[in-house]
Amino acid sequence: MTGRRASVVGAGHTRFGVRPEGPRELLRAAVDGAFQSVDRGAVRSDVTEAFLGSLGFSGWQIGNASAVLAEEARILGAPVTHVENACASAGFALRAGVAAIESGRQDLVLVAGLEKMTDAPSRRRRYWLGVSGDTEWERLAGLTFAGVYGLIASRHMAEFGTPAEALAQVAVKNHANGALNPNAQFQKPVTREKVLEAPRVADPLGLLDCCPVTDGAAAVLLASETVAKRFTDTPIYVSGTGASSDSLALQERASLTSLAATRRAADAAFRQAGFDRSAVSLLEVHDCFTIAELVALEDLGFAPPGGAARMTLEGETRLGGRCPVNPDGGLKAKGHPIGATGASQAYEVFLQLRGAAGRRQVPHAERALTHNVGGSGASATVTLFSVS
Amino acid sequence: MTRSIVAAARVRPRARSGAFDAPGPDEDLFTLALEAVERLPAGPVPETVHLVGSAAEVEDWSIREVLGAPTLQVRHHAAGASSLFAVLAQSSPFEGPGAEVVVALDPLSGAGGAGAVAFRIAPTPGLSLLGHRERGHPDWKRPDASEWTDAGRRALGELPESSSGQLFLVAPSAPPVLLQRWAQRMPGFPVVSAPPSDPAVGASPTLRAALALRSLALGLPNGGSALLAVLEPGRATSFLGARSDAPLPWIGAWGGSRANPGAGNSPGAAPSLDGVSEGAYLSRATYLSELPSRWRFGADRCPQCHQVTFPVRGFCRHCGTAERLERIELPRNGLEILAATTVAPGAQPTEFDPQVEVSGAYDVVIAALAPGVRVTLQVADAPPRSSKIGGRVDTRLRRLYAMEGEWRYGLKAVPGDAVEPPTDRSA
Repeated sequence: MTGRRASVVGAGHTRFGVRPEGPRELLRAAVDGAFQSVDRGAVRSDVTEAFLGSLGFSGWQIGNASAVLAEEARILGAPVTHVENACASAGFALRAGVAAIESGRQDLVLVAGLEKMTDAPSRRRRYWLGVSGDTEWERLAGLTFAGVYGLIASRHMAEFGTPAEALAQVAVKNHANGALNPNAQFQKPVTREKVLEAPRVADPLGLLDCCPVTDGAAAVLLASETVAKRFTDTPIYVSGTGASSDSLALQERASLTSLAATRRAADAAFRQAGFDRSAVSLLEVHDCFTIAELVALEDLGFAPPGGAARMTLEGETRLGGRCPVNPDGGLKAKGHPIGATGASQAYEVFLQLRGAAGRRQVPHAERALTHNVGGSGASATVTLFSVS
Repeated sequence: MTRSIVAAARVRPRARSGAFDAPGPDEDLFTLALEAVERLPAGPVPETVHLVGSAAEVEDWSIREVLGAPTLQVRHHAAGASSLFAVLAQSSPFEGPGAEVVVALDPLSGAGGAGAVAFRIAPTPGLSLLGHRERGHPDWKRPDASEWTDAGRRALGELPESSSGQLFLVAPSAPPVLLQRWAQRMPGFPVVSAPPSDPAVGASPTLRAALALRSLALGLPNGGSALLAVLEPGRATSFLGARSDAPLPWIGAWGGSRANPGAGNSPGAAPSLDGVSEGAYLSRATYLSELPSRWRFGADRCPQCHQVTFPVRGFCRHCGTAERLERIELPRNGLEILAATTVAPGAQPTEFDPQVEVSGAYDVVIAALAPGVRVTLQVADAPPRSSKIGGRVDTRLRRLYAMEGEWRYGLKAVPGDAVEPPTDRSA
């Protein structure tokens, strides 16, 4: 793939949280940020294709949302594709953007993710929160994703003896990281006791085990290796991508405690990248619920099955630990605007690998992994980035 | 061969409304009738199911679908004791080789309680049904005992005039003098203290008659005969003659767990969701197409790789074979819980808002149907947080949610059977 590697040359990100901006403003701000971050500048007309990750939460623009990106990015005329894979929408949009470059078809591609979630009344929000589960067998048995991940957590605890403290520690660690991220929805640390005593949502998960409902957008500019140095001296290369699918419903998967889609995506990404897990400086994993981060570390191959709890409790995953996970606060503290998360993870990696992450900077970061999951594991992407 | 009751099963709803049994938020006439039928001891799939008191709430196709009996006849009959007795003791001899099932239901209206009693009718020894009569509109102020007792005797047409028996009197508010005079006119039929009226069934004539008959069927000594009379102010008096030719099996009474205190459906139409469905939606056609798996755990076994695909997809999920799949039904009871959660109020999909308003948090489990085959089930009839991994659950068909003005049904997990002990055989 020499010469056709994709690289990130710019990235933008809105503040996440309950935002006054509407969806168009959020998208415009993230895209403008991406263009402004390009060291030597890029012009809109250089973008020859774009991909938008978005669920279309609350029904704001379910169909043809791609045109909104074309308008707000001021790239009218360029082909834009709306990618919807639930919470992994932007992860798959990123993969599509990378493929457009690797194929040789494009040299500069815009990938954006967007979700506007908090302005809908609570009933409408709840209506939408479960739309990506298996409608027939999960939602209509009474489950939203908190319930599905509650089932996963219950089984993980029963099978591996995973303690509630390990789940709580994921929240404690990610909130601590979020406190260092000016874009995070939650910028206040929480204690383990607070997490354990929070009101229950779906046993064994409490309110502080769950990511919040969030408004936000993020965008990255991808360039081919051929043109990357025109934009910056320090492009961040996409070394490998992997993606996979699995049954929509948890009940039909091979395991209740492991996401096969993550395992397959990770294996594919590492195969392409040609380096192994020990070379990774930091991970951005899909922690929509605390249990999800533990399962992710095991499925990505950074902990043996059942081993992520120990790794977390011993501090290996915190900033300064052996394997920092979610330095930006993760979905848990940074927030999870569904369709934006995959792009937000790439934004964080862009900062980290260029040494621009400020107070949350992982020292000497050279390689990073992002992991984006659709629903409870019906789809997953893993992307590996490198400074060289 | 005379028609005989060979088994009787009573199902009480799970909740209470004041003094009466009331359906829980996920029960209705359909689920109660179905549970009563399923509680009958295993036997041949009935050729006919008679629903007495069902009005139009129970649709014929749904009974056929859930029993997996596409040629089943479903007949609907008016509420009331005389209607029930007429259906039970049809004058024509038993027709087909298959059994019939008669289900007495309360229409869930007014102050009546709710519940269902199912009777399996077969041409084999049991409680032989000798005949029925009714006498219209007795004037309670001028009790004409002779006319009444003559009607009763005629009801026992096949019994010798001299034979003895019991008079089972269901007369909740008849004046004592009336009862005394009837007793005098029926010397061969000493009045057995009418079965105490079950406060749980309230003023429901259909259920009261069915419960009295069930008590009679379970309590009458072998060879004994009885006349069951149901009197109610302003209604016809109904008589049924019966003789015990073989004892009936005790098969318990179910329900009444009161898991949802204060719960109760308003009778009638399903609540409609606000406005137009948004987000997740299942069309009626899609819902119907999933019913074999949703209602009976229908699955396909592959002739090539022998793996089981559930829910049914029309092909083997393991090897892709789409031909000569063997349709099987996976077990519905004794399922092991593999994973469990409790959905707190506010974490439920909006379809379940009306249910949560009534009964709060609920459990959802993933249970094993077979090795490697699992199903996700909401838990009913149990308090939240009572589902434990490794525990066992049974399943019952219940209301799931309302969509576009009609209820959608599916199997829910319920705690394993808690059959009432047989100390009170008339319960």
